Amino acid sequence: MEEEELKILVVEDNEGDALLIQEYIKDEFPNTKLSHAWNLAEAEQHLRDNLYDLVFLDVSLPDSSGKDSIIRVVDLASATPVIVLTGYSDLSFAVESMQLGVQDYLNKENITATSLQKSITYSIEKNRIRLQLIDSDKRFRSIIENSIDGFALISAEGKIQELSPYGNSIIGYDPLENAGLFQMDFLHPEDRKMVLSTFFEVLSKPGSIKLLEFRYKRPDGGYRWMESTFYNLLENTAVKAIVLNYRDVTLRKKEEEERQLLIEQLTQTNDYLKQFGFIISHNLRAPLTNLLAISDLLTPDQIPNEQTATLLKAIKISTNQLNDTLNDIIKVLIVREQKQRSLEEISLNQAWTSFYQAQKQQHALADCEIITHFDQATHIYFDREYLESIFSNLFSNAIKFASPQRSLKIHIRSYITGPDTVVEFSDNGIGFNYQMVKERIFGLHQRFHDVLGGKGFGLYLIHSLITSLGGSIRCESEVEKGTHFYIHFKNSKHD
Amino acid sequence: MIKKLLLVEDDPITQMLERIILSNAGFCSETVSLDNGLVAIDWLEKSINQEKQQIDLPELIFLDLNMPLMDGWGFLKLFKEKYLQDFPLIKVIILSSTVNPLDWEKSKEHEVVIGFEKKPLSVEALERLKQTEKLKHFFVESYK
Repeated sequence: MEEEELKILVVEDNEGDALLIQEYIKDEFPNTKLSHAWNLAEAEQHLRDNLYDLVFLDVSLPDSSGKDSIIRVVDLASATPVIVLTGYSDLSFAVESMQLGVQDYLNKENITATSLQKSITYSIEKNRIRLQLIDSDKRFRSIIENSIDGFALISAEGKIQELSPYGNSIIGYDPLENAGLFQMDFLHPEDRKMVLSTFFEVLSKPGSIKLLEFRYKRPDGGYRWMESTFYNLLENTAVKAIVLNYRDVTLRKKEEEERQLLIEQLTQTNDYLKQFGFIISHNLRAPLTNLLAISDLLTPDQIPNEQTATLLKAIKISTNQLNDTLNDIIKVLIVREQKQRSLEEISLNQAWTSFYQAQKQQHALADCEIITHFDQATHIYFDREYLESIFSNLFSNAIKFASPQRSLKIHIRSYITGPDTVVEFSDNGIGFNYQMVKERIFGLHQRFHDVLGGKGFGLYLIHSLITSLGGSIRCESEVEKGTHFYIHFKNSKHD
Repeated sequence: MIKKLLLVEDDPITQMLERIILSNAGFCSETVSLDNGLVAIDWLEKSINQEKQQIDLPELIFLDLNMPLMDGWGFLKLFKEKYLQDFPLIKVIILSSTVNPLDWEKSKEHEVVIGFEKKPLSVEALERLKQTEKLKHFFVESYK
């Protein structure tokens, strides 16, 4: 402190007092530049022309006295600390001066060099802290005032005590004009109860925060969506209020609503399509079941006319094909409908054997060699009914697309790779150009053969069955060599 | 053999076919075809009022689900309200071409329903029904 040069103004009309004070100051702070004013007018002149570190002010001056002097000088000194000098002790006046922004109050009768030194040091330091506080408060205010969010302090009684300028523009008017009373009328009627109960909930728990969205009416009558937080800082001595933060989210809300509407419409359309699928399948099934029953009752062998007998047999075959196609469509519909199916541990060998035995009983199977290797991965976690459908479709495909050049060979093996169990199903049939087809092979109504019997549904069904249970299927094929299917099943039930 | 069977079915061709199959299988001695649930209820109502002793009531009803005026579900609901208590021996088998898996689940809620058969009806299906716990007593005599 002693190193720095201090600039001090002494405002004192009594020559003796002025000299004494200046002596004291010089003793304690030799580096001081002192100025002296005899009256208020002179003091004002000094303060306008110079910047001081400290002002000593005698309150009884020839041209002004008491509070008036203090107010004038404190105002002009602005950032400079002011110490008041009086010739008498008056505690209430001292307190009053402090409230007017004075840093200290000294009785001239009791002044000593030490007390003066202490007062000067304290006043300058106190003032420095005061200026820092003002500055930090200014920064804080400027952040709040320039924030895009609205910002309000609400008392426990629900009165708005403060509101950021941007807060006004968000809601379109200044609620402080209404004595800070919260206007319930401006809240959307459907939201009033919720906003109130949220406010009281936060009010009841110090430190609690609640997020909520509500609609608020602007002066033009239109409602805007606000996203807001109530933060109870009543027990925080620096705030002592419930802090309300809010921003206009009308645009976002509108987009959300539009999206919601779209989802609803899509769900409805989807449900309708599903129903439509069921109705169509059902309506087709009714006459089809009649055809099935009729062709079952028909006995072409008893017909003497050969052509009629052949045609009747063709009706039987076509009816059965129609039935198979419709059953596949229905299976797809049901797979899409049922999301949750429980997986069970299935022995591949057992499942294949029982499937194959049933096939042998039902159809006269052409000459074909089947090799199975299930020893590397004996079990999968899957749905038994689905697995049977998969076997059935792959097997009937292999038969349908067998090469006329050679007898059909089917090779099925299973093994584990990473988290998957793979079942590989290979044949030596006519195959197809995989490069041309790629994964479209598993699409709906994709047919890549002219061979009679392809419905374009089987592989789509298999794909649906497998993927609905979290697995995957992939295919490789070469013309006149054969086709390989790789079916990946999840190794574990959980996942 | 079942003495009397009601065939509640709206499609005339299906009616005809099922009659042929029932007779081929030797399943029942008399079949009454009724066009929908409402006609079936009317028929039951008349039969019960005319014949105070329940001599000629059916033992089994084959019930289609999808029918005009009153469908299978409507029939089951009315049957439960009106006749279930007084005529506990009458049983129902649903005979439908429905593709909705929920229908099968729904039919289990009715205690009068003892079976669910998918169309088309076949002699094999009827032979299978003859062996079932609920129906086999009707066919014991014929084996004697």
